[in-house]
Amino acid sequence: MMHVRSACVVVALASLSVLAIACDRTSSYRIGVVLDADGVRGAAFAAQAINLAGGVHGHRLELVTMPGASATSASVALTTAERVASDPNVLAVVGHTNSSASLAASQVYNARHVTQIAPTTTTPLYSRAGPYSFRLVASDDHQGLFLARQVLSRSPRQRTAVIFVNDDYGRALASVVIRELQAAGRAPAYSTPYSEHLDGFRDHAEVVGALARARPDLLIWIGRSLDFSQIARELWEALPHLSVLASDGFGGPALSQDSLQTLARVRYVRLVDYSRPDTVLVRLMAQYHNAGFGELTDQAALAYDAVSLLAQAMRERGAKRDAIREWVASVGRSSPPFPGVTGPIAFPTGGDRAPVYVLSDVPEYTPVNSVLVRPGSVKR
Amino acid sequence: MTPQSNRRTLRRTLLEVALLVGVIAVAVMVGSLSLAMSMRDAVERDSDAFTVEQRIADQIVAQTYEQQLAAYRFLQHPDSAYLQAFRVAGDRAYSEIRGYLFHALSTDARLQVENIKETHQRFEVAAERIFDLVRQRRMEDARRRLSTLDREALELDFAVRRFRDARSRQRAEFRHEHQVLASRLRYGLGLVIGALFLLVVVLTTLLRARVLRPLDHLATAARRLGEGDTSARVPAQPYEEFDAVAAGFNQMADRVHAARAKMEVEHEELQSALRNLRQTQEELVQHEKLSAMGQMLAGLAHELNNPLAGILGMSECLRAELAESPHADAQRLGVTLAAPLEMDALRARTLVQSLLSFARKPSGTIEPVGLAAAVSIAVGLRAHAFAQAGKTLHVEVAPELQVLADTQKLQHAVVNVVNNALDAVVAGHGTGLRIYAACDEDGFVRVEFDDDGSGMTDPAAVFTPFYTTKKPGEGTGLGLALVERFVTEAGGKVSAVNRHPRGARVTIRLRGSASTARADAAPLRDSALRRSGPASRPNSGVERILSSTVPSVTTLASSDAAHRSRVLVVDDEPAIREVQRRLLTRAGFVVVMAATGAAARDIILTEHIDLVVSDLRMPGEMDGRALLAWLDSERPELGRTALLATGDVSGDASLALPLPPHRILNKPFEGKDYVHRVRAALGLVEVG
Repeated sequence: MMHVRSACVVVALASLSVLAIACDRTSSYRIGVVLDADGVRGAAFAAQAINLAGGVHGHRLELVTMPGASATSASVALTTAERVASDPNVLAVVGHTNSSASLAASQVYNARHVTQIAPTTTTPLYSRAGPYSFRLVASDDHQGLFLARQVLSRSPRQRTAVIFVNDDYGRALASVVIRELQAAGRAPAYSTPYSEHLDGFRDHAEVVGALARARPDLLIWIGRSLDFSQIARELWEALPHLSVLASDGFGGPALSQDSLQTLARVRYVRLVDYSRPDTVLVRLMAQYHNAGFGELTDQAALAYDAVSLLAQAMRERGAKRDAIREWVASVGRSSPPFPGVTGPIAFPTGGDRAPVYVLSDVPEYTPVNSVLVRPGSVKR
Repeated sequence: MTPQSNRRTLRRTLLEVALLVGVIAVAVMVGSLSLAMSMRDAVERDSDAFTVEQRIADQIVAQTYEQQLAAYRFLQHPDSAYLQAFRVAGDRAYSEIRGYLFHALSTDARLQVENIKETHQRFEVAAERIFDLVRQRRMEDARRRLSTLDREALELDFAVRRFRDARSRQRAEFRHEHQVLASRLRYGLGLVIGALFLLVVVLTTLLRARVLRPLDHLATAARRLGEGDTSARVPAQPYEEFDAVAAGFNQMADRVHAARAKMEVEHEELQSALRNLRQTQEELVQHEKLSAMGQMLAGLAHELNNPLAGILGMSECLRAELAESPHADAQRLGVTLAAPLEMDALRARTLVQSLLSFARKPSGTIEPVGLAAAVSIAVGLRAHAFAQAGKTLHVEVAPELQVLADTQKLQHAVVNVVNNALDAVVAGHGTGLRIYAACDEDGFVRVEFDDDGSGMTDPAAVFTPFYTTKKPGEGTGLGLALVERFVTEAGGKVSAVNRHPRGARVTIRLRGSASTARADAAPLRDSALRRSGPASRPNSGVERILSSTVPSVTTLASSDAAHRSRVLVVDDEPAIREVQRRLLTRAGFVVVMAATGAAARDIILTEHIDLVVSDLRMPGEMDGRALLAWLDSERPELGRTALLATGDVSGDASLALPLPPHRILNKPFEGKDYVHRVRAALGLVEVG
């Protein structure tokens, strides 16, 4: 029931957005949003709030999503980025969904002078993506240290295993974790990559078998919760006492109601600190929920901040791509930090935000509806 | 710096423009070369990037082979070293693949790179699954999985190869495009430079034809105008601006031309006025000279007339008395001495009368004038000179010819022509001058002066004022000019030509009066003027003038009336009184004489007087005029008959007298004429 209501809200917002575009296309400022459903909802909620407050200097804020925007494939991201950047009315982009997609798309956006704000991209390589590439989270160099310290804080006798998705995100974060553990003399007893396929984690029996032979006490999972959920049952049967520490990629729409039981023993990294006494964030969560958007996820909150940040850039410098980039780059330098709902936003170096990591247990996580965005549809 | 140095010529500006175009051409050339070099650099950079890409591809393939080798070895010998080697090689391969991320690639190339990356990821995961089987001692399963690994490796190799081939094609296309662009740039550059130079040539030609040439025209016209050529004009120009300048210049030239023409006219008028002024001044001087000469001649004639009257009267009385003498010797003396003396006295009187007539002021009135008399008077003045020079002066003028002229000026003209002829005849050793007059068909009277003298150097210029061929001091050059002026004023014409074989002819044509008869049919020939030498008596014309109808003194006879008449002779000159007394006494009159007017008045008051003959000019309180006035007042019967004698024969004094001409006696008078006048006054004879 919750899924149906949320979908209706998204469809209604998208229809209103299309109608608004048809009525007053020239007077709106357009932002591309290339995220999955969580991110699109957060961005749409931000745009709604801004437009209700009068827009940007009287111009409505319009979000543009592209076909396949939610795909994590770098190839799809490239094609999507080409289409978004070739639209001269798109002033900036919030996206993409994961690190591989953001990295691949960043070169297109930098070549077209489109400011790209990646809400959840953490791969260290993104720091070198270019002057138009920003993100609202820290590099995985920090998360790798964070995860390694979590391991090292446990008993030295505990054995550790690392399973990571073999893409730009997992490979980079795993290398940092393994390097730090090796440096501490506690090299993982087992580490292996896996491939992310549309049809799920293939050959996971071999992995579980090998993992069982390694008998780890702690598994560091660097990947999506959806992939983990495919091996979770076998894993718990083979290693009933295994503790799982997952990276930030674990959170998201894969945490469905059905999989909560299998993921109950997983502790994972969150990028937004919901425990801080911030009335703004609390109020936003309530508004978000009351508006029918469901629970505010990390990606939704960060997308909300990204859209708000770009809107402020347009207020400050107008509707020009380069001017927007200049103002965003000045945030935390010549301009004061932007007061985002996820905390103050600043880009002191490299377009990266200061690290904020919070460990969260899965049972505390309230699952949300996962809505696939159909090609060409727009959410708000 | 002076303003002159700030001036810029159009040529210099054009040169600067040409230089500017040249600089632009060079700049275009340099820019094009720079662009070509940058293109070359781009090609080189692309070549370098391609080289790097090829190296990356080689590394990926190499690392993949190494990973594949390590996987096989791990399968044979499950040593963690092989596993570590596999992962190190995998990290290198991944690092190389990610190296493409920051290369300038097309979207298609990036898609290929992403495909390579994902293929490599699958390759690695496939190997890891084999490793997991090995760890589980499932060697057979692991070997079966090797085909999957080989397939992924082969696919990765194909992906890399496709990428390399695609990049090779792209690079070839890029180089080809650059080569085409460079070729077009070269051709374009050549065309641009050629066009620029052609533009310079065309502009220069056009500017020369449309700007410099009109300016040259203007400058040439201005220079010609400055040099005085007021006919200089600038032709019409094709451009409105230059045409306006040309029109302005031409208007200015027209005004200059008109002003100059006006100035030349005024200058000519001024020169003419100056010439007239000089001529007038000379004429005035000449006139003053003549006037002074006339006054002098008048005074001289007056002074001569009194003694001449005495001489003439005395000689006449002497001749008469000797002729009446019974002695043959006395009669012979009368013929040989007294008669010539009387004749010379008469000739002297005629000469004095001619001088007075010549010296008389012109009246300024054009009136009928007897041509023969005027010529005679003039000729009479110069006849003696001709005679002395041994030259003849032949006159053929009919007495009835009359012309319309001023008498005095006509005489002066004749004298001037005769003077010139005399000089020419003497200089040219000629024989003399012939004056011939005739009436033409058109009513003009033609007077020709033919001499056989030296002729004229330039007959057309002889009437030009101050033109003379005589030595300095011998002529003023005004004689014939005055002749031409007089004839023109009288409505006639004068011309001069040389005669063949020698000599010259001056022809004066004057309008004849209505009374002029045709005289050319039978001109009156004065043969008496023909003389062959200086010994001949020169003025037989005087003899003709002397011919008179009054009776000779010698034929005068006394009468009773005369014996009863008492004539009072009043004259301050004793000789003249005596002559009158003798003449009147011989004529039978009783003569009473008085030396002054007052004495005459006393005599009249005391004695019976029938006629008073008084001199006009007398010393004392009462001259002839006063005496006459007294007579008119006190003795009107004497006043009505009184005669006045005067030596002033110029006419001025007589004209002022309130008497008819027959009551005026001009000194020197002849005896018979004098007695006749007295008898006429007394009514003894009729006035005639």
